[in-house]
Amino acid sequence: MEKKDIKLLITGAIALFLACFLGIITLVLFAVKLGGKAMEYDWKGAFGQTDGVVQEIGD
Amino acid sequence: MNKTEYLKKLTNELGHMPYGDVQDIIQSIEEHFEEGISAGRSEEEIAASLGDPKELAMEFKDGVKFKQIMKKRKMSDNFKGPDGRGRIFVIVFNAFVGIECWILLLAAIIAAFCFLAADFAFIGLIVAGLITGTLTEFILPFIFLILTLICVAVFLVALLILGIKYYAKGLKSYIRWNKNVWNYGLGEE
Repeated sequence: MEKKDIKLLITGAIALFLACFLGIITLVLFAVKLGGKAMEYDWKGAFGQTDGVVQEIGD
Repeated sequence: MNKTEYLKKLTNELGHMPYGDVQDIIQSIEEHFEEGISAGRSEEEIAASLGDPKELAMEFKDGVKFKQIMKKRKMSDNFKGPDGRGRIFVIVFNAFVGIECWILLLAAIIAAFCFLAADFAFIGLIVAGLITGTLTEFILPFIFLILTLICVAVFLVALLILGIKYYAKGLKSYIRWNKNVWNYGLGEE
């Protein structure tokens, strides 16, 4: 293996490591952001409406 | 061709190899010449038995050791005709293993290339989304996603360069090995 190839291999390995590292950070950031959105969401109102519809069908 | 001329030509052909390797090769060839001369052979005879310097250099570049090359030369000198078993082996091996493996490796390279194209397309889409303001709520995660995808792209480019280079190199050696088995047999005797 030539020196040039070894350099390329090391570059690829570093890029893969960084991709994994940044990928995890990205997932965490998305989770935090979506979690925040989920907390803000009006679940009670949404399910309240659905409950009403289900109740009407039941009746 | 005498010893000096042969070594000069060989050194020229080995030009792109590391200096240390060239020195080792030249030394082993010089020793071979000395052994031959002490056995009563002429320099021209020894040079002819070594074959074309260009071909010899190519074999060294492929990583073949001097002992192996000499063994091959001896085999071709003692060669009595094509070996039927070798030809059957080449056909059967390529039909069931060889060609399939090379196609599989080629498919992996093409898949990596497609993955790289998709990666660039995805980066482009996110950047367009950020510029047009469609992704305003998730700016930070998307910036990190772009950085991740850039790193994936760098990894894939490195993988593809090395993959294509060694695929071509390996395929060349594989074809040469097939030719050798086809012409000279398996060399079990």
